[in-house]
Amino acid sequence: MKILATYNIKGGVGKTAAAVNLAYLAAREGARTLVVDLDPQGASTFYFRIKAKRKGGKQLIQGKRNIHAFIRGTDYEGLDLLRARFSFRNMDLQLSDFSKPARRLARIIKPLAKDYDLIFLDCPPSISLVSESVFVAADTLLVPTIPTTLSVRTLQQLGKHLHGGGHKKLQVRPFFSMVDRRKSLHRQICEQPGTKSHTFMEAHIPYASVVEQMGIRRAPLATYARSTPAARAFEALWDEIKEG
Amino acid sequence: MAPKPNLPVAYEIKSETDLQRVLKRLAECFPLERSPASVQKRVCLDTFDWRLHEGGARLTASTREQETFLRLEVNGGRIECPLHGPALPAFAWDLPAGRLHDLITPLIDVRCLLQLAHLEVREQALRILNSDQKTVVRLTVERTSVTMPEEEDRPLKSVHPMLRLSPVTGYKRATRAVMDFLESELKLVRTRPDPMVRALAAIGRSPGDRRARFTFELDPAMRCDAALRTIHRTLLDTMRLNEDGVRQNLDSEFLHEFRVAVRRTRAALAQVRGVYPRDVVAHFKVEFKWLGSVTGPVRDLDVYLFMMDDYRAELPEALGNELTPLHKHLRRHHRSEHLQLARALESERYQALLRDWQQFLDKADECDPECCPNAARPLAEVASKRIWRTFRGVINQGRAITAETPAEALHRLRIECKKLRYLMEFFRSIHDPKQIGRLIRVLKGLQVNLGDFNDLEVQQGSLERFAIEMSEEGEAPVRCLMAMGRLVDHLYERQKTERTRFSRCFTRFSTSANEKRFRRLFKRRSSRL
Repeated sequence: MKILATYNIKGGVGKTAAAVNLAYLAAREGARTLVVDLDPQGASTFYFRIKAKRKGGKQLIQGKRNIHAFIRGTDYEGLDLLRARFSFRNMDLQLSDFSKPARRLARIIKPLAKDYDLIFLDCPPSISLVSESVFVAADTLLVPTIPTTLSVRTLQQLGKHLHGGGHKKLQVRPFFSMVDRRKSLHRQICEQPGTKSHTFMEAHIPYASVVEQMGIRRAPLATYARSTPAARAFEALWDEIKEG
Repeated sequence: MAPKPNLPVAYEIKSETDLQRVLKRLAECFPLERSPASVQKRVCLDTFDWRLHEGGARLTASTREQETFLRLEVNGGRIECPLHGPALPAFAWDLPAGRLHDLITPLIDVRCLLQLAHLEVREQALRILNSDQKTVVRLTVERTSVTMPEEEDRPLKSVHPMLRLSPVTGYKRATRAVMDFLESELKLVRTRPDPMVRALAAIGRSPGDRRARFTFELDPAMRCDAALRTIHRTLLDTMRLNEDGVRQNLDSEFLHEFRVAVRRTRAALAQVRGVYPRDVVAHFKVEFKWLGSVTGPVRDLDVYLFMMDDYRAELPEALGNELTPLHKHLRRHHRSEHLQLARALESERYQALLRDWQQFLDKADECDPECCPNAARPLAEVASKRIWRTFRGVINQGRAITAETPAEALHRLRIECKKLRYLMEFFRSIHDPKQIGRLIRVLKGLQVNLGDFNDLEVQQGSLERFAIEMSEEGEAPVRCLMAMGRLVDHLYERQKTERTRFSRCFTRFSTSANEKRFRRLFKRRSSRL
């Protein structure tokens, strides 16, 4: 089982769109895939037309209920979702009750290894105990980054934090997201990101209304706009991720 | 603990009219969304003995947008993998690297994938939705037509339509409601969800229908001649079953099973004495010996071809790569030997052997007790006595072997053990399965040691023979001969180790506890009866 997390300290950068679309592509290829919606806002849960719950986060963290009971099948074969709970907003506090809080999430997910080939962790923005748990649990951190100076700077901060925090095994794979080719700054940063510590993936996810329409369609992009540049960009991104 | 997997449920529907009625009623009672139907041609693949099916897997090949895909369905999941070109894989090593390859390889091992049937599947996906338009139950209408692979020109045979229900994780209540509706309201009856098995049943195939059988259902009180005929008939069926695969050289297992059946036929003829008339035994012993010998060279070459990877691994990497000329030599000889084997199977001698043997086995009349003293005796009596005697022979021969005894004595003991094993397996069903199973396992331990010792010696001799043949045929590079020489040294060393292990293995077999177990099962029984 491989665990991929879509993460950024900043919000609104396309983490959920990436998690939902990449997970869909993985499942379409036959991988048994699970999306874990860790964000109390429950955006990926919403995209999959599943109702987010208010309570239950504590039971999940404390292991009082079988993790399988939190999982719902999506509309797509081989793609399941561990739906969000509004109480995930208190996850930091709940994790801190444990002696090794950063390892807790990895332990909770472990029993799923025989059921899934791939797990996507859709993370909330922020840097906290939840994100520390994600850094421990995940094999790869997919970091959607808007091509702006501040976003690239945030990525560098994340890199330094991970390096100093002993997460050296964690593979960090940033990619440009919400790229608006009309903006010269976006074009310029995509060509020269100005950071030596990270290599951006080749595929860029464009800023496109079809991606925003996911909120109306409540479905992955490839199901309703398969031949659009944005859908193709996600396919290229997924191919690149698979290549490692 | 993980919950039970969401296994699909299937309902067979008797006619197209019934199917339309079911769909209409479903649409009236549930929010139903239908996707357009798609037609797909699929080829069902499995080994001759259905190894994929037995391992809970289903493999099909289909073509989509001019690309051929393999689809493996296993453990409730599905893996698809594109093929590079239209040719279907024949062996595990022809499969593209990846999960599909890794899952199939241990299941099929060295067997080849055969085309079991060609299907034309018309599928329509239906989804039952909740108030968020979210799928809560998946249904699939499946209309399948089927033909045998070699009869693709014939009209397709239709299978009854099927409605498959696939639960969606976390929506148990909705699944239950739909299932109740289908079963209570519409009176549909569940069927096997495996469309491949249903389709194959339509052309008269069923899982395991071509499996070689080496187990025999016998009655301890039955006449010995009737029992022996049952054994021989089953073995003859196995030969006939595998004959075509041997002729076509589809994979090495056809010949292996064919030879096992021949060997056992010979063992039963020779070991269970006084049951058939002497002249019959004498004639068929000679003929089956001939059949064993004409099938031997190809089997030997099959084994050496499989051994090539092990041989390479046994040598330093650079030297291992020098074995390529040997590999080529084996392959070339395999081709010519197989031609000879195929000719032998076409020969009048072979045809007459099988025909006469079948006639003899089918003869209803019982063997004359005058010339066949054991024919009318109860099976248990004869079988137990024979097993006990052979066991005593093994014990006596084994005890006489010391570190100084020539290798020939170990070979004789190996053959004696083989006879004992065959006898125990022939008559397994008339003894307590747990007890005889345990004793067979104990015997196997000794057989492995003796078998390895013998194989290692035979291999050394064969490698020397191959080296001479290669030199004579002018295809023996010096480095290849050097590598083969090193290999012979390795094999010799390993053989010495097996020799030193013998006394430990024999002691483990001949403990007084085991002897008591053999005595209890075979000796007392034979004296009691």
